[in-house]
Amino acid sequence: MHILTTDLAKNMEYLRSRLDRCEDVELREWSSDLFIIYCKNLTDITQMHQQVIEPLCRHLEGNDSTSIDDFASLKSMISPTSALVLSEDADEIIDYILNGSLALLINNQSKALLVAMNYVNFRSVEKPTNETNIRGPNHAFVETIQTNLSLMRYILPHPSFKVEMMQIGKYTHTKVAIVYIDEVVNDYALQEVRERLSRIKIDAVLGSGYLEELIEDRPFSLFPQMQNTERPDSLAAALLEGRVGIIVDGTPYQLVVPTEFHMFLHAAEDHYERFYIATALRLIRSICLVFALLLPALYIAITTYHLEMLPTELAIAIAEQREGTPFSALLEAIIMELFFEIMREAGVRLPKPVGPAVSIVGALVIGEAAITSGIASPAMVIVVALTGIASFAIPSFNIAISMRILRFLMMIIASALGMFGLMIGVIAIVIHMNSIRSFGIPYLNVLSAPRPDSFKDFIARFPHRMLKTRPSPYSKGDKTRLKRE
Amino acid sequence: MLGNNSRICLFLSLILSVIMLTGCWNRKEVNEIAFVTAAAIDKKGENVLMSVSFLRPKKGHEPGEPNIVTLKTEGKTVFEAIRLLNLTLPRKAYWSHAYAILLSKEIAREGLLKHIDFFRRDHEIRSDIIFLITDKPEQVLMLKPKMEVVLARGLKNTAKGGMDFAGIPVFSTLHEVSKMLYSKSPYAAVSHVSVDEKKKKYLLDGISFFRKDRMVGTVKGKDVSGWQWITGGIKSAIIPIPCNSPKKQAKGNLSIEINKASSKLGVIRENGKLTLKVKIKAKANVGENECGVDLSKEEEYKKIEKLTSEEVKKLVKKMLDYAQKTIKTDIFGFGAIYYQKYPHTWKPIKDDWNELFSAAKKEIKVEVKVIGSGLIFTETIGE
Repeated sequence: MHILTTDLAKNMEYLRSRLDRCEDVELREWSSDLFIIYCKNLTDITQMHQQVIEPLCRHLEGNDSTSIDDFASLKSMISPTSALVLSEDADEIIDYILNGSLALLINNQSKALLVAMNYVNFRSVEKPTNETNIRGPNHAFVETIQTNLSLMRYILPHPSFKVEMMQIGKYTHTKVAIVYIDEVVNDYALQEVRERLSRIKIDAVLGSGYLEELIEDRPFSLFPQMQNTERPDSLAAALLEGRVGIIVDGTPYQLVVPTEFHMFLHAAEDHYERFYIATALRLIRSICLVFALLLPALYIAITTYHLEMLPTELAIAIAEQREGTPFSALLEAIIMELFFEIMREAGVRLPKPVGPAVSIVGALVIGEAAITSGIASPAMVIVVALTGIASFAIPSFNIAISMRILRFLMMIIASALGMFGLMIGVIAIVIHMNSIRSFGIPYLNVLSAPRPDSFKDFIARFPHRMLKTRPSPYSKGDKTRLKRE
Repeated sequence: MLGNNSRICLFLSLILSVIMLTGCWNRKEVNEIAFVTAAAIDKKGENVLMSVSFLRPKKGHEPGEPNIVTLKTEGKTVFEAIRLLNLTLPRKAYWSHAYAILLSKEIAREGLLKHIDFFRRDHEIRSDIIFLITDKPEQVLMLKPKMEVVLARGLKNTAKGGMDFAGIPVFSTLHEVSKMLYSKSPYAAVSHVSVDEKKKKYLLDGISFFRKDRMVGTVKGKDVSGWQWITGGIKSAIIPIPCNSPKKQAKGNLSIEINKASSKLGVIRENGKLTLKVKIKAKANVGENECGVDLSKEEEYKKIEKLTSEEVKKLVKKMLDYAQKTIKTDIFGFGAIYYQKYPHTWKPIKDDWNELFSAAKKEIKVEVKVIGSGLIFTETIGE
């Protein structure tokens, strides 16, 4: 903290030294006793001219003077549409300048007038890229927090929608907004979010993932404990269930807490399409989740321990396919899964036009070649392909990743202990999931503490006319969703 | 107590030891086992002579049907013979997908129980594996399947189909046979298969009956469906009835198709004498009308019903006579019914049950209802 003095030259000397080699910052000397400082690329130049420079010129010409003595007259000149702040802390002034404000310094004053002029021209609101849908709203968050907050306020124009701003990061000064709806929010979670965020002392926050890892309840668990969304409508829906949103500047993916496991299987679309199809799709997604986790393990367990479980024809068919393959079922599965993971990773990293082509060609060529060369059996290729596709059908990418990792563990344990081991694995996973709490709410909330109401938006999505109360038992105050006389 | 890190280490080492220390004792890759499809058991002197058919999976893209390999083995017991197979077989025999066990008549006469004990005891054998009695079991295994890919599967499905649609053989699975052998008056009924050596095909032509676990006789041909009628195994059957119309129409038959049948058995004891009661109810259709009977008249139906009932009654009576007079064995499970009704008097007569059964009077009631005539209603041309 550096307090300004009444000596303008001295003040400027300090500011100059701090902003040395920051060539995007303009330190304009209007006259010997009036300085204007601003960041060229962050301020709206036209607005600056209209609101500050021109009135200033007119005033000076009209009064035929070259100096201004106090801030009162300066303030009266400047058009009142801008936010005006007076500050005497040089560091704070620099902070404002580097965030797009205009600073005016005059002689004999130990203060500076700061005029908000920030204007950043980033990309405009576009369609969601990861959470696409067919029928719902089609705008997605962008990088700038102003735009994102405007999207949220546009959806929730009610004074109960609260936005609490804070800054995190020594160098990034990342703006973080805690958003919630005051009348329904879960107080405990809100308090926890505030507290955990305020504890963070980090040099930089370059995305919401930084915050997620720093504030989650079980940092070493394989399961994600926070949902992220790029859809303002999804975030609004979460807020309306009493959850808290964390909007981070610089990323289109905003966090939702507390998160329950079943939320990862829900898509925004579920509430826009009719409830029959929404329920059916959620069922399919749940099956896909099980497939993504267990299918290769189940295949290994059955073909190496429980062949009697198969219909004879299938057992014989698998035996014929496996005839002459050199590896055990486990090794074969691991090789094919690795192939698949390599292709997927390559497909993600490659330039957009090449990516899909590579993964398709890779899948076809390597799959076919692996069979003909006898490394893998066709049944295994089917299993691996089905597993891969099933993991793509899970709406949340982050839960799909945990399933990918767990799948390998399940494969190993199934190859050692068969179906018995598979069950041990599943039970261990369920126990672990039961032990997780996300900001005070059990991860398997609906299942571990069942209430008839909470099943209305679990796997089945009941019709909107039956969703009369908020699903989360932890939201307070206003519980009514739908009133019907 | 332990710190967090050492607790994690302990947990991980426990998990690892679960995986490492098991030794995978039950693990078998598919390409390390040999699928058994069928086995034939015969006697050779004091020893058991077995032929076991294996499925040799064709490799990868090798064209054609899977090959069947039949290997012979000999041992003091069935289990020993099976284990001695490994002297010629590079893989372990895997029995979970076996379809049929063929037993020679010699084995059947000597006693079923001691030869099927292994199959009942071993965990790999499914309880729906089928038993068949034949003269030379090996010979059956040498046949080429006509329809199914695997011969044994054909045998099993034929037994099922024959029982369901013709009422002749019995679907004598391990489970069913055990059930009969362990009933109050032990008996068994096992399908009989014979081989047509010229045409190289098999024929499930009858049922072999067992008193306790020893074979006492075999009934071939369609008379044996009487047994199915009595035990309630009939699901569908055709009863031909000769025409008796006064008109000079051509000789022929009416085929009555039984759709649904149920039987109720009962035993009544009066003054130390037994009466066996068989009550059969069935529903039928006219499946074929060679006689030109006018099926639009109700009295014709009544006639047909009466004739069909008599026909069924004949089958039932024949079978009961066979059981009482020829083999003198209760092969229908009347013993269990008696025990249910008079449990306190069972013990003293237990050993003489088959004699009592043979001397018993019988009372047969058959009620067939003809409920339809198929898609055609009247049978008059040009009117």
